[in-house]
Amino acid sequence: MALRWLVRANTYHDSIKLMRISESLGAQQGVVRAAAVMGTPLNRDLLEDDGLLPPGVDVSSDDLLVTVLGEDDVAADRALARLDDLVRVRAASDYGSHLSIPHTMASVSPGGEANLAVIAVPGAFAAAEAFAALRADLHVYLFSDNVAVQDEVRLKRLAAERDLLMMGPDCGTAILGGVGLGFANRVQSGPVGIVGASGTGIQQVACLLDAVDIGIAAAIGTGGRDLSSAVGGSMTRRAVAALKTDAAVQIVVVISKPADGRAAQRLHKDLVKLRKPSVVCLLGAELEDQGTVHYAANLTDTARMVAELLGREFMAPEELPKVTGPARPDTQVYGLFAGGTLRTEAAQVLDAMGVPHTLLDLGGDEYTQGRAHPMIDPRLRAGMLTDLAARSDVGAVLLDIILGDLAHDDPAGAIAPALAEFQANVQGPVPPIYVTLVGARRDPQGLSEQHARLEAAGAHVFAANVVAAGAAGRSIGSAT
Amino acid sequence: MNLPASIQPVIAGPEEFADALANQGVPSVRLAWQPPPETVSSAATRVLGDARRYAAMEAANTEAMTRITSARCVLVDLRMARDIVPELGDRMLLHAGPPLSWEAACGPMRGALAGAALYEGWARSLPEAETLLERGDIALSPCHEHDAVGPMAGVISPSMPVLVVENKTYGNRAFSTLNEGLGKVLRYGANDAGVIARLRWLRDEVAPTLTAAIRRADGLDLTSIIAQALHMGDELHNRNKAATALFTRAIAPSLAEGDIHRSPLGPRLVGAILRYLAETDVFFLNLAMAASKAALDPAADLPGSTIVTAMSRNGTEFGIRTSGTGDRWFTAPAPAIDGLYFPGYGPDDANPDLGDSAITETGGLGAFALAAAPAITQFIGGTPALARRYTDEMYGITYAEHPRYTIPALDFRGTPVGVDLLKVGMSRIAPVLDTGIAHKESGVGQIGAGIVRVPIEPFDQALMAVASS
Repeated sequence: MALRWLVRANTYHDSIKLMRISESLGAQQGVVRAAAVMGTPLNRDLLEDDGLLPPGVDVSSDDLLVTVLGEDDVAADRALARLDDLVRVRAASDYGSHLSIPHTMASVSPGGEANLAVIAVPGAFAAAEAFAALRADLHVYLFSDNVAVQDEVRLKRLAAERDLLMMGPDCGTAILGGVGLGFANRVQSGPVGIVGASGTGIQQVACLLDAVDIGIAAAIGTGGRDLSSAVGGSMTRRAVAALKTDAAVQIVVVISKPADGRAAQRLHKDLVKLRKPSVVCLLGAELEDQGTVHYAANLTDTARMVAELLGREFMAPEELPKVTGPARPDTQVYGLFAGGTLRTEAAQVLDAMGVPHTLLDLGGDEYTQGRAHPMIDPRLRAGMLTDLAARSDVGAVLLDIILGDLAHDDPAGAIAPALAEFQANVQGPVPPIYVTLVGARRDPQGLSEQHARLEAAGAHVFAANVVAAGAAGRSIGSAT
Repeated sequence: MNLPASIQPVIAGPEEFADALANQGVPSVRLAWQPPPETVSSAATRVLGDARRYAAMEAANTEAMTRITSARCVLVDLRMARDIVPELGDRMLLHAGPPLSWEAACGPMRGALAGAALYEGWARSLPEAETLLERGDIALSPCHEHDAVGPMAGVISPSMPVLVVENKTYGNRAFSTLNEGLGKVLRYGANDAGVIARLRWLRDEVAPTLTAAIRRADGLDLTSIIAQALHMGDELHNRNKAATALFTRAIAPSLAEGDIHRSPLGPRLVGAILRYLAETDVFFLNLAMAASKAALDPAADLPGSTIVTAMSRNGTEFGIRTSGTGDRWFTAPAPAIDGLYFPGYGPDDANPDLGDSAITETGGLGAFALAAAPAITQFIGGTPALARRYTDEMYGITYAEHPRYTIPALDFRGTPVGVDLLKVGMSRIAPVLDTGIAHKESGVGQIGAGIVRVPIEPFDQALMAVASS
């Protein structure tokens, strides 16, 4: 074994790029393990713990740190020598050779061709870029999380003053002008306008509707905190107002994680006056239907109600697998989610059934600092799934696999080895694995191929998250 | 609010976001985003996110740019420094760059200071001059703190003649010495008998005649000459060939018509001055610098503004002053220069960057206008395409385009002007300068020329100062 590492001072790469570099280095012949990270104290400690870095290496958070554990000196050196090829940044083709590419939204002049800023930089720098973009008269799609709530409030206030969209922070999905932003599925266009304080919530509803050929006119993400008491739903309400005047929209859908009561009330009043039917899913907030405003209990229910309002058939109930074997009251459902709303929805289903559970949202702020989102980078979840095999109280496993643009190009294939390893190593009877597969038929990964791949890996696959969660709960509580 | 019917995205984030859009058939522009220090990012957030503070900044910056770009700078006189430079003490030497002590001064700066002491007659020998300077018997002060600018070492002593440039729009003045020409010159730290003799010749023979001609010409419009020279291949820092020719053409009639012409020595003197102008391509540099200084100074004190009003180097440190922070200097070690060397010299011989001449870039000339000067690019080690690239890059960190200084090759686009601390801080692009390279030992002179990227830290410090004021 030979360990090699190098430090490149003041060299920044985003977390996705670092993931790709790590993967490519690790795939070199004779390389046992490899990592390319920014040299933060946390990353340094992790590498030291893993034996991939000797203690005391002088590296700062602004430096690129690359380490390779090879079978021998030659393999490690050869892998490191490829680094330059791997880090090369692609040139932007839109710019002529004599023009320099702008470096910041602050350098984008108002009145140019651009009308939308897509911002996905680390959270500490995101607010400044978003403010600069709004000042440059750009609508903002802000993917970054880890943005302070007071900055979010000020960003949305500024956007309202300037009559611009402020989608985010932590906005996973949007569809504007028929184009998906962030994690978005290739759904058909149609009569439904969605406003969502939840990226995966929008994706779940849009994909369930796409499956029955109901299309989306626009999906406006607002960021997960929009209907909190601090933010007060300002972007949700402005987005609803925009959909009101949009002739293509016949039905307005609002999706959010549990909302603040007053923000929900204000939204309700707006919707009552909307003069278009609306379906609202606040996952937990119980409001009475009034006039054209309909409340849905969950995401699947939301899609079903939209279909009914349009006089269309909704999908047939998904077939549940037979529950076999004795109940395991000493176990619980373990869920590893990439989508926060899907996690919340699953928890509500299991709570209602009285089934104990440990459900993690791996797309949450605490898991994404310095790391790509689990929909892009499957490694964290794969590792955690493998580790679950050591636990004796796993009664069932719940996962979500999300297709579409920006997501991993083969998420089912990426999780399959960990599924196999979990099933091989777990003690006692193999717990059933339930997967919510969120995808549209035109998604680049191929919906049916991904479905087949997951089934081949031993998972039960569903399109509706509530059904997957219900199946997981049922498998544990079968004899009680 | 109407939703956009189609989107034209600009991306700050991983290339996968651009790929995802491209896969849907949507082209996008992806910024070459780099993370700033978190302190800089939060200062930027403070300024951009606070409505009141932002409005104040915009108002101050707009005012600063109006002042800078509406200047009309005119050469009105040539006077002895002691008679006209404000607060120039009897035993004081002005120098380029931010404040400096003798101990910290680099080789060329020491050579120029000692040479000036000799020229003034304060010492009879160089060692004696050095002793006086070492003991602090001669006060040192930055040119910039006396409405003045000087190239390279930039030393101004009381009995040097200085060009008097008046900003007719705002009534303020700026001063600079007469350029000594090339070769062994004080500004590169040379100080032998020949150098001192040439300074005396400039003072005793050139100055009186030129003074009379300047006064007779009743004001030479430098802003206009600069605008024309940009259309003739000058960028007014490393190339002043066209501007010097335009100046010579403008002053020649007044020189010839002067009283001095009637004296027996007259024709010879006029001929000598015309020859001096003809041989000194760089003559106009000092005027371009004084004109830039005179244009920038009215914007020197506008609280809340993020516009840079001076960039300068003393051979030891690089420093800036900004509109929002007044007289305060923000400094970092002077940078090394990426350039081409004359035969026999290399980077080991080079002094760190030196001179007040970065005032030209501060005012939208020099490297900022490099696209206007394709002919100079070989001299500084580049190509015309690279020159356009530098100018283009500077548009990303400046607040405005100069309405009077335009670049034919860029469809007469105005030069980038008004370095904005906010844009520098967020883009991580520091300004570039055209520059000459001085030998690190005094007296050797110029050994090359090139482009230098100034350190970014002073801009970060200044931004944080503005944001927390």
